[in-house]
Amino acid sequence: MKTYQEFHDGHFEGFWIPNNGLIHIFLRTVGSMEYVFLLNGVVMLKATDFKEGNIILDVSFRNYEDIDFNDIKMLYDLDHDIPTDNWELKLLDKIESDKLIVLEINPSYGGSCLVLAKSMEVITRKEWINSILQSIGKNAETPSLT
Amino acid sequence: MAVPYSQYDDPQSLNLYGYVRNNPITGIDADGHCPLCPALAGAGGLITEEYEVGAAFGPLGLTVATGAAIITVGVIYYQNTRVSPAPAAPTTTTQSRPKPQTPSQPKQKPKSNPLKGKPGETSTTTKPDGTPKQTREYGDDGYPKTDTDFDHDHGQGQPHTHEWGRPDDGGPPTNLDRGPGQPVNPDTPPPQSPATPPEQPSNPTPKPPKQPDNPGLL
Repeated sequence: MKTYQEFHDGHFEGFWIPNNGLIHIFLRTVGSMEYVFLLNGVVMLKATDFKEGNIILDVSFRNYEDIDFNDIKMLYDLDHDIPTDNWELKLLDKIESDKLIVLEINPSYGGSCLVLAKSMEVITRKEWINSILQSIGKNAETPSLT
Repeated sequence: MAVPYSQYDDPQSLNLYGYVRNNPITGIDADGHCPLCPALAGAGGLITEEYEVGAAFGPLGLTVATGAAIITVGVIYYQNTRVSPAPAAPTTTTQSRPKPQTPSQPKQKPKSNPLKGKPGETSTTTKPDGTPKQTREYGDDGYPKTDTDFDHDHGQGQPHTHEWGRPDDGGPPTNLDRGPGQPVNPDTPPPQSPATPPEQPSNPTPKPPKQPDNPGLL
């Protein structure tokens, strides 16, 4: 497990789910350094209690070896008292075989987030903006809404 | 196909749909292997046996009162009422992890402290190794009074605290009411801003990330 100490007391500013298997999570450190966590091949995301000004307690990243049934139950809103079902076993096997990862954001105030995905990359907000600007140039112009 | 645990001198043992060879009054079959175990083995005490089967099936308790003794046995029903002949291996043979304990899986501890708690009490979240991450003390109104953060030193001290205020309108506190980190020990050095960017995870995605067709954010 890796904990990103830099984000303690920072801000969970938002996320973007463009429906292409990639999720963009926007975080800012207490020192106002802005980053984007790019999660690729997302299997499941759960984000709750989002408010204005979400304050981060901790951000952690775990490899497949450290993912367990508690994560699955949390992701899929399952009661922890209910026995583990076969699909959960299969999902845990998939997590192991596909070497999936989990990103977890816990709050001191406001939103929390748990994402199960294939891989993750952290880039600065500036890098992210540049990549988006490049993609705008490559795509056809979007008509204005009337 | 051979019937497991059958005894050819007892035709009832071949019946996979019967329970304790059709003699449920005197027989107890705890796990499908022992239909002739004596029913009163635990007389004089309280015996509670628990059975664990696949998630799709559930144990049904049957309690028999025999004078001063209470014997609780479990009768395992499959959905088609077939009685379990044996504690079979899980149906998925590709499992590389042992099946978790069911139904008594340990409850997941909360990963963060709730905004509201019992007045005057504290709530603590811990890391997997049991060391504390944050202790939240609640005020008389049940909302946070003080957060003490452990193991997150980036210039605010280790541990450090955040005092919570209250909005003027008397509503619940928001992010604006959480004060900056302050060292618990006033002799702690002054705050410093972190300068190092976060490390990449061990399995980063090759750049550049897949671009959406219509970003729509900018």
